[in-house]
Amino acid sequence: MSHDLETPPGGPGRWAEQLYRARGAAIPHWRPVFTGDVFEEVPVTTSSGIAAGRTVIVLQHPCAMRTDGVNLATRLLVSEVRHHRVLAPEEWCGFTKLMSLPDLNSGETSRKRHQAVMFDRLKVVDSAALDVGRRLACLTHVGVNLLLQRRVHYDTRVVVPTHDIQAVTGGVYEEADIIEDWCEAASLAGIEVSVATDDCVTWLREDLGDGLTRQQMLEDQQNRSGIRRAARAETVKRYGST
Amino acid sequence: MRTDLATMLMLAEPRVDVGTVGSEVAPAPAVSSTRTATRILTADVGWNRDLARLLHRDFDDLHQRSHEVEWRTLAADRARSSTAALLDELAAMGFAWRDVARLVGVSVPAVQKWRRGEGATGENRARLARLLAACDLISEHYLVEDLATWFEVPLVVGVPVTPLDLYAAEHVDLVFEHAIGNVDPERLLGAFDPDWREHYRSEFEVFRAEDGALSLRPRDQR
Repeated sequence: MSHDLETPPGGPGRWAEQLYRARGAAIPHWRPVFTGDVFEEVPVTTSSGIAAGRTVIVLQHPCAMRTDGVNLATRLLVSEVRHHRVLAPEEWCGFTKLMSLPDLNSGETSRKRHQAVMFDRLKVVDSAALDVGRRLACLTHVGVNLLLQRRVHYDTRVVVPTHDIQAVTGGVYEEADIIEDWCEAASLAGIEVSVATDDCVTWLREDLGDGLTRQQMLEDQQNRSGIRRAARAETVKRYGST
Repeated sequence: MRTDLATMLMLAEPRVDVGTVGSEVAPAPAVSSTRTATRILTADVGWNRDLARLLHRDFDDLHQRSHEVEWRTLAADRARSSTAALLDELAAMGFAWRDVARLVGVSVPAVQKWRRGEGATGENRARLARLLAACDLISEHYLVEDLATWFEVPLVVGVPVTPLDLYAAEHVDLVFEHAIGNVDPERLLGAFDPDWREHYRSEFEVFRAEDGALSLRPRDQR
């Protein structure tokens, strides 16, 4: 049996919790922009050349999103997100040009509640146009892996199992979580998010000897809890909070 | 015991009893004392083996039940702490908030609200207490020092199923079995997901690309 495009774990009733780390107002503004973040009202140029506000999802791979580890690349690859009915479990192996985002707009009772990523509506947008105040959702690690699986398949017709994708995205996802925790502690101490992000990335990239950094150590899941503990201790030392 | 058994097995080697009559007269089948002894031995060993198997199964069940009882008792103790104190302990161990949320069965924003001082429901606080109680039990009985790491490391190399996955799927009994350390991890994987070999079969391997980033490529394509 060969691998096929995957369905989120659990039944449809659990898909939202499996796909979304947070939605709408529950997303802390200090969480770094990451692959799979959904933004609304992003100016894009339509086929007729007119600029219009669209809902988009970031497709850029985490490793290519930032030029220096802190600042986003000037232009980012995104895909439009549009209304689409929720796919049934057996339909996830088809409908290859989209990825269903059930209950993306959980406050909506209309048909707009359910959306989908349209891989055939790719755009490149100015990263400055991604307003964290208009972020509709951040995906879970499971959600990011499913997104990457479907995008790779749409582009190449190759199905890569999500557990393989997980092996190479685990470290960068962990890094985003650590930056979020760090910035939360810094924000409570009145430090600006951009400054705190810079501080955290500098700490992660500190040379621990032989060129080894904490950022590299995060690639190995056996090191992650230790780096988390060290990051929490460091924020307490710097900002006096947990 | 081993010497006794060896001696009895040596005695059991077949010997030909030619008898004292002519070859045209077939000797009556004889039951030697040796064969009688081996028959008794086989029956005894078989009976003891069955008994050992039953005892093994009974003690497995008893051990699981004692885990459950102790886990409940520890959880009741833990439940006296505040939600914030429970979260602080999990953070000090090194658990990621996303994993805490998953293990307790809530969203990441829910955990973030608790950390900011918003109250958790009684049921969610009890779940946090149960998680910490499981950590207490594992570290006390099975001497696991770095619990958060232990929870994140796969049972079998190359198969991405971790004790976190077992716990989140409410197979806490398998988590305790894994902690004991003398159970074949592949047997535990089989109990968790009978098709794990097929589900986690991979045609890709991780490698470090020239830009230094981890990447995937088909196996045996160097």
